[in-house]
Amino acid sequence: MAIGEEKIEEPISPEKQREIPDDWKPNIIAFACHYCAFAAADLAGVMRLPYPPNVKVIRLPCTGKLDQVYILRAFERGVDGVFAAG
Amino acid sequence: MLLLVGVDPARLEFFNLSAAQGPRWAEICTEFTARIAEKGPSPIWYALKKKKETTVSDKQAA
Amino acid sequence: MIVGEQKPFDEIWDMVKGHKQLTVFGCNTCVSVCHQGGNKEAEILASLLRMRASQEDVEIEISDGGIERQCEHPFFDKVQETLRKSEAILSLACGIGVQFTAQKYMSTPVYPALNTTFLGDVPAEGFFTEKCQACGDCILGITGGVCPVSRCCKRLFNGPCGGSSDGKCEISKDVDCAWQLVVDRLEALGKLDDYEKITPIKDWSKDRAGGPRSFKLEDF
Repeated sequence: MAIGEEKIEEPISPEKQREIPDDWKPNIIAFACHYCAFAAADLAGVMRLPYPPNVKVIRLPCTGKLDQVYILRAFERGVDGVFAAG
Repeated sequence: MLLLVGVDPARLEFFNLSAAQGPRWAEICTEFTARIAEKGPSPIWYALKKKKETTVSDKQAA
Repeated sequence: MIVGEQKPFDEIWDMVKGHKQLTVFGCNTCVSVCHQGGNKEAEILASLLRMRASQEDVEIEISDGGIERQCEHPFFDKVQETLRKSEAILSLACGIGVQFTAQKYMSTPVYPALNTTFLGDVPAEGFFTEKCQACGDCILGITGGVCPVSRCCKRLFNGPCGGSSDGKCEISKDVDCAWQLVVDRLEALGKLDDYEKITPIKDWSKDRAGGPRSFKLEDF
């Protein structure tokens, strides 16, 4: 490795590689701000843009309402991914 | 914090977008779904599924 | 304020995993300021423990709750029923709260989720430093408002030791020499003469040396 070259370490995932069942589909929760991301999602709908149906949107009055506990509760119930947009 | 319970933090993401970014929303959804599909089900999903299966078989046994 | 730090998650899990039911119980005063033991942290910890339980296939019902202060009887009134029904309690209070709760529910195991660390202040957001040892005989009046009992590593009462250099303590460059701070402050107050006064031997019987301390108001 050359001097000064930055070594970027890949973050190691704590999850074991497991067989993915055939009937599994990603289950994703999106927390969206009523005034920006939710409106954007609405717009995407109006524009008839296709996007995966696995994303379930939860509307918040503002992403500031988002609480760590909401995210943890989602994972607790076996959700596969969570994203917040605002 | 998620690392503590064996969940990959890559399963959680934050995005910034405005009300006018409908296409970006569709893009984010597609991208994120692809990422999760690649990662497979969450370890908790497996655990909950196993639990459900055992309760069902318990009921059948009874 | 009492400062505490949450114990490592694995340690907490090992303490509680043998139970069938557990109440994660927050204390919303001192330890909530340092984001370690408040009712919100109790909620988060309960959620993490539930996730661990489902992954390790352990049957344990975990609920969360909390009150404003776990060191006083009246605050317990509204949670009396919940706690009485609990098989075990994981308290996020300081050592005082854990003991108080344990004493109230004689036959229920109460586990500490925190390591109580010190009495401190909040000099910057998210930063806590030790300032008081509760030694029972305050001398801040003659040391310019800087406590050598808690801030001098050797607890010296009459000036610094030889390890003080550039205002820092010899144990670490990150630790201020308490006596440097005393001198700076006395100088600013124009009371450097006080520095020359010899402090008599301290009465440590008012500290823990005299056994557990208590205090009673005469009117009660």
